[in-house]
Amino acid sequence: MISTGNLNTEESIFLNDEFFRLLKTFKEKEGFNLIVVEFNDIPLRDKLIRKIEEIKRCTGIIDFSDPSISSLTDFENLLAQQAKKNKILHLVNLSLLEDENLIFHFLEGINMHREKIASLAPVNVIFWMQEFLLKDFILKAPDFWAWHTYSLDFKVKKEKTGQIISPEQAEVAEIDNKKEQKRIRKILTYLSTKDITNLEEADNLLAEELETLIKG
Amino acid sequence: MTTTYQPPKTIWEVYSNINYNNPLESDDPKYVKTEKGRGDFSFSGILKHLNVHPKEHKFLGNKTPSNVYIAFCGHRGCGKSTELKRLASELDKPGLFKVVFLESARELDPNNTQYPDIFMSLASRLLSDLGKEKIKIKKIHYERLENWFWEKVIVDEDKTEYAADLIAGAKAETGIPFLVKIFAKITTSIKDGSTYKETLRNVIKNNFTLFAEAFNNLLAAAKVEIAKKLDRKEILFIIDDLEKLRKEEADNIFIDNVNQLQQINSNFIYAAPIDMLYAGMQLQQFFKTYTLPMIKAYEKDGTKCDKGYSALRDMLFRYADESLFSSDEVVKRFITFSGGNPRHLLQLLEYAYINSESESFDSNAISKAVKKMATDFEKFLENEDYGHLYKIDNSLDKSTSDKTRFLLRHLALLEYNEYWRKSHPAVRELDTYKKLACNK
Repeated sequence: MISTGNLNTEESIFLNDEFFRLLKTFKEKEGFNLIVVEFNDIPLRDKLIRKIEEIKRCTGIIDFSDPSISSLTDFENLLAQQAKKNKILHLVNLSLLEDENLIFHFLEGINMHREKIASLAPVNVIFWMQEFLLKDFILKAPDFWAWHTYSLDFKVKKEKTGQIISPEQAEVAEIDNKKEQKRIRKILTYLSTKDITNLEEADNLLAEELETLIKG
Repeated sequence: MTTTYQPPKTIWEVYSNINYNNPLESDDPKYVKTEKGRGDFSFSGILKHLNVHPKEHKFLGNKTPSNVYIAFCGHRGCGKSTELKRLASELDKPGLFKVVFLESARELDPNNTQYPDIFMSLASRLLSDLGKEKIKIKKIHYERLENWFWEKVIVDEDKTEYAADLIAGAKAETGIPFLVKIFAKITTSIKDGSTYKETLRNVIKNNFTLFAEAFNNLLAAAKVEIAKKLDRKEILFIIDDLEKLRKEEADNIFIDNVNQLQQINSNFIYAAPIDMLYAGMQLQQFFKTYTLPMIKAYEKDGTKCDKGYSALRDMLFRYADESLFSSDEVVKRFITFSGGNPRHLLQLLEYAYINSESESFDSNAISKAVKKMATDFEKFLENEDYGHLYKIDNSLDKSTSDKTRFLLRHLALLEYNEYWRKSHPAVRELDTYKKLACNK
């Protein structure tokens, strides 16, 4: 985990050891190369993606929040198309798929379709994943995970005066059901777009997001 | 002129050349015979079951096997596909078998596989091979298969929704070339999820006995002709990758529809999920089962197992030149922390490359690689899992509970022959495990 103190400038991010390791994971030779990156801050993820494009060129993004991806087949078609044009593909926003069941179904699907996916995308594939999804990924797609070349950790350590509830904690507290889990997941994804340094600010943002959800 | 294989001589090359996508072919210079390093496991058992003399590679007493059904199991990354490919090339020889090898993960829809898909694909492969080898089969032996197709699958060309699609492109053909196209089309229609996939499958299921009879007829004739033309005395189907199926699908094939599987008169080796071995004795009831264990670098008591250790060492040096390792101690750590799992050995090479600060695999690189591998386990292990692993390591728990199966499935627990289990050596590097060990 990277502490926020080290990430005040662009340079500090890109001089980080983990970023050097990320650059080292890319393979020039044609072939499927799966890299898993754990993160908790969307602006940082996007900065890293931009920086990789600056350095390596030929990168593409497959965004699961894109409404045109509603099935594994859609994903595979897009992957095949993008792999023809790019040497590095970023897979982002899996957590924003419609609901938890769809995510699990997708993970089981990529597990079964591992060989097919590898042959469709003989390139470097970076799967950007939040911490709360990584365990599901490992357990629901173990054969796919078994082919990963390396996993990297770009989680940012944020100073907080309190704890923000995680989906796992929600389970412990037996807070309702899947619907609640889904809302929390959305909130967490939303919060990771913000630079939160204290609980009061998080409270305000949560209130803001909840209001949007209620209206929605 | 033969060229001698040279393993990569830079760590960058080592990293670039590691590729998990394709199991090694039997003639790949990176292939290492690991059989002796896996404890009392031996392919002789499978060979004997197929009535093949393990050393002379000919049928025992000149007697060919008939209707042998083998389930071949093994944990993720232990080398099943590589070994099945090697077995196929060892057996696909004059005097022995014509082997039909099906990589089901590539050739079927692994997200949704049922027994009709397997047999349509096997029929397609066999027919296509007969065509390629220019083996002539008399019409009388394949016309039942043609009749089955027209009378049971198509029924009415004008009314059946998929008729036009299946026949398109095949109508100009007759005989075996017609059947090749038809079975290939059925296979791709099911694999690619055509709109009529389920209807077609159900039609095949409802008429499977008739298909089996017709296919058996063809198989019997093919066997005679293959023997004449290729000097292969039997047919062996090897179906890889079925171990990756979801539990419900695997149960559906290997348990619920085992009778359908056994309606085909031939010899089969199926890769099957290892979990099925622990679910009662259902799999063992219908199949002769074999498990490919991990390679043993060490015995349970920690003493070195020379055969396993040297197989892993040999494997390591096929992927990375010996000169790239800074010391024997570093080599030893690669071997030890792989747990005897070939894929983990390669993964450690990748992890070490990414963490290396020099041009070689040194102590610093392997330490970081091991730590990284341990972190992979830490990401999904729960606190109680460590306790369970500790108990197994200390022979306090020999059961095969759901928890044990979970740990085996995700390789936190490894299984060796002469039957014992031990936690993955990288797991034992984690603080939670170490603390547990200190407190006991």
